[in-house]
Amino acid sequence: MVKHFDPTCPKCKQAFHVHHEDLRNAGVKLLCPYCGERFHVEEADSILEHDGRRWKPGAGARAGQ
Amino acid sequence: MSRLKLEQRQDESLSTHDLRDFIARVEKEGPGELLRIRDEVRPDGFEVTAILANLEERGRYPMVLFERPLNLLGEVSAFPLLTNVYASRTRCAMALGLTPQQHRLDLSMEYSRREARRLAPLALEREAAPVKQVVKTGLQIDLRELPIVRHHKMDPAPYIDMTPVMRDPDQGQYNIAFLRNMYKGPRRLGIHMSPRHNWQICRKYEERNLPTPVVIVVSHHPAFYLGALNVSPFGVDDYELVGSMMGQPLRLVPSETWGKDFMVPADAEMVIEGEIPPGVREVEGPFGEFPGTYGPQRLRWVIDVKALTHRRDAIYQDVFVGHRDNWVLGAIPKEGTLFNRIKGVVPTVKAVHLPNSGTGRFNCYISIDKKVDGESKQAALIALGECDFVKNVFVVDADIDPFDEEQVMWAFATRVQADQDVDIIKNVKGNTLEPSQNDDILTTKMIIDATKPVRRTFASRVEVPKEVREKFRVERYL
Repeated sequence: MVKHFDPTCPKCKQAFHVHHEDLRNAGVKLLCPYCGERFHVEEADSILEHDGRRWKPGAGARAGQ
Repeated sequence: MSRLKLEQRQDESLSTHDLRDFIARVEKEGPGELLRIRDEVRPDGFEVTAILANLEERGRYPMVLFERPLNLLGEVSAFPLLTNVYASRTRCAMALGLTPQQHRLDLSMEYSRREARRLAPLALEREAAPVKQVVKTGLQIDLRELPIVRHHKMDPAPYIDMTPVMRDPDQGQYNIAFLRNMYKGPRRLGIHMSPRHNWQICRKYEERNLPTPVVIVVSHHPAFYLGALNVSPFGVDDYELVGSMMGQPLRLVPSETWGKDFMVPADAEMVIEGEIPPGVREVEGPFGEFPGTYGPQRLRWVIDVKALTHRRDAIYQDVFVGHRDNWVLGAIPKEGTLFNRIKGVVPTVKAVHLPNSGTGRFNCYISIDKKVDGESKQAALIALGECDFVKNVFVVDADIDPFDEEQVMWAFATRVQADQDVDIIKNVKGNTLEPSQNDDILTTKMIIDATKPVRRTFASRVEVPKEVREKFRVERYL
């Protein structure tokens, strides 16, 4: 399986799979498949990385936000 | 005069090879194979797949015709929805014109025979093409009028999951493949491609900064889709191969968007024409994929829809991806090809089966009438080398029916010593969607030799004397 990370949507708090190479650093907004919210990776409520590490991006962690 | 009649007769017989012909045959000859659902259902609200999953839980796999599905606007769609067509090998046999009883090795071998042949397509005038009965272009198109299915919980949108066709800009051959198409708007779809044939075609257009023409054949005779899954190399014209699979030339008609430069199947129920703009990528997915697990959200291509053409009373078609509908469809094209390749080296091969338990791809059961120790491994290595989907190969003796999984597991239980009969091969090209793979590309493959050794004694299988069994046929007691 290609590497993926699981961000948790800041709005509905549900996690989904995102392709690491395509989207981890692409700077585009992800689409929550459950509620349709669009958000940057750094705006996720939490992120489960492909290596199993879970972390919570800080509020305003995204540069320029 | 007689010549004209003959031509008319040929034309009549050709025109009958469409989806309706198949549905009628299944309803007539396959009791229980077709389930009609007359209630209103919301395909984009998981209601179609909920019914299919509940049937599956009861071990039922009928082809299901939803007569009143709602479209994405919440209205009863003008298009009935047909799904789960391929969830039974019996129906796949019927799709190739075989008898329902020929659904095992006969089916895969017939597929293999037809895959080796080509039949040139036949061009029709626009007026004679059923798929041109309704033509919509530009702002007339609204994909929300279709009963597009949202399949699984993590899918972000409804998906059209039938076959886009692309045409190679250099050689001119058409390539057909099952690719997922995410609904994004009334005239916009997302499209996912793995680095296979359509991906190569799209890449060529992108390198020239040109849009890639694409035609999604949303609904057609099942033999069309079985043919689409052929394992032929890049460069083979799939329209010719599909003609061979259907047993008649595929009838084509010029597209609305590109005219004779891109022909579309005339007997399809519905086609969508569009262009993939070069260099454009948007988020797409996740999507519940063929292994029964989700593929992740990605940056993928989009399709700007240019035309929608269909029969007046078109039937919309869908595959229940990640379930038996998807697995049987994937297995049949590979079984016949693998059988032929193995036979070239191990002439005593009896049958090859890719079972549903292995998603019709990852597990491969091969039976051989072994004459020499080591033949079993040769057969397994050919299967592994021939098809990158195949991950685990079980080789069994000729007394084991590879289509009967209980028998295969019995051989595994009684004829395998793991330290002697199991081989592990690391760092082989795998499939990016196989969830246990911990590398993007590389996987580990396994050969399980569940055959008896030739050069030493081995416990014989128990048997009740055949002559006594024949005297006591159970029909007398049942």
